[in-house]
Amino acid sequence: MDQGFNRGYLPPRSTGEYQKQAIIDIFPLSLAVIPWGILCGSLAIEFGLSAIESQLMSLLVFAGAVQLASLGVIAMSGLVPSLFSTTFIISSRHLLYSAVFREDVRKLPTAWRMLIAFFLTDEMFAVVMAFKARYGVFSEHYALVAGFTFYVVWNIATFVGIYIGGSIPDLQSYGFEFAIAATFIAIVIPQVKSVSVLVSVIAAVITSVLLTLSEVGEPLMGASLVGMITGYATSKLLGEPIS
Amino acid sequence: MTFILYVVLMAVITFTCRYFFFANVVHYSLHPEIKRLLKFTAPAVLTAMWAPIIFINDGHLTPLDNAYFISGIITILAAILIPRILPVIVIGLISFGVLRFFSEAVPML
Repeated sequence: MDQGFNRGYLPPRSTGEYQKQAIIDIFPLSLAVIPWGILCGSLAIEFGLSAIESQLMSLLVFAGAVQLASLGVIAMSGLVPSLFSTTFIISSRHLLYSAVFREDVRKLPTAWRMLIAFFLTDEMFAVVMAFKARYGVFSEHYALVAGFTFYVVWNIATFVGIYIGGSIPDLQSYGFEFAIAATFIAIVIPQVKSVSVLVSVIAAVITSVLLTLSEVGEPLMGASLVGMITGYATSKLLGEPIS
Repeated sequence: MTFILYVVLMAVITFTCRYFFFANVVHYSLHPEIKRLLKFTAPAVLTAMWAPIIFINDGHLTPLDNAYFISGIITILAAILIPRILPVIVIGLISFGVLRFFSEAVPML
């Protein structure tokens, strides 16, 4: 173990250190997602998919919300067009992540850009943004290793789910969701360094709660957009600098 | 077999969303005002994910004596006081574990 690793606010010094830091940072989120991976695998089997089809979902689609929703769509309606429109609606937030990373990723060779895109999840986005906020740099090595670590854990969890099939206990009662919430809180709160970000976060909280309670529309998409727009408007009104 | 085709098409959709703005076909730089808007992506989207976990329980507002609510507030306070991610997560999880343990032992909590 090298000394001086994890030294306050100085960025890692070598590619190896970036990679190690990425594994450490994505670790809690990888743990929190294991139950959902197991759920995806076992539900896929329960809905009548073959083991290969179930694993391919995690290997290729690699998006928990999409995978769970697609099983629901197939079971409820069996309509293929709604399968693809659901996939697009749930994935559309990744368009935003891709726009956020654009300036950092554009200079990289195509293969690198494709790899980072393939492994771009909520969790990878979250840790890379936290890393950027902390050290002021984007590292493609960090992003790739964080995304890949998460991918491996997700696929092993799916495999376990396929293996145990329909015999899983009620995972939701264990409170794994809290680990995801705690991680995102720990990532978001330190980024509240201006009035506009504070307004954005408060608006997103209120909107997500109201939309979820009223069961109208898409709470995730609605609250994200309201949070972004109120933050933008506040930043504009107060004349905050862009970067 | 057809389902494998669906899986592949779904993968094309998810990948396209992730890759879209990485494509170097268009060589423009994002407008400064777009950059100003995108700055709020991380706080807004991630908050839209954690807030319902903490504040919504079974389709209703989380009761104030619920472990999700109390530990959520503890985690938020810890994050304000400690600017490091891992210790904050650990504090949040420990408080959640302790509260859940006692709420099972003492049904009123």
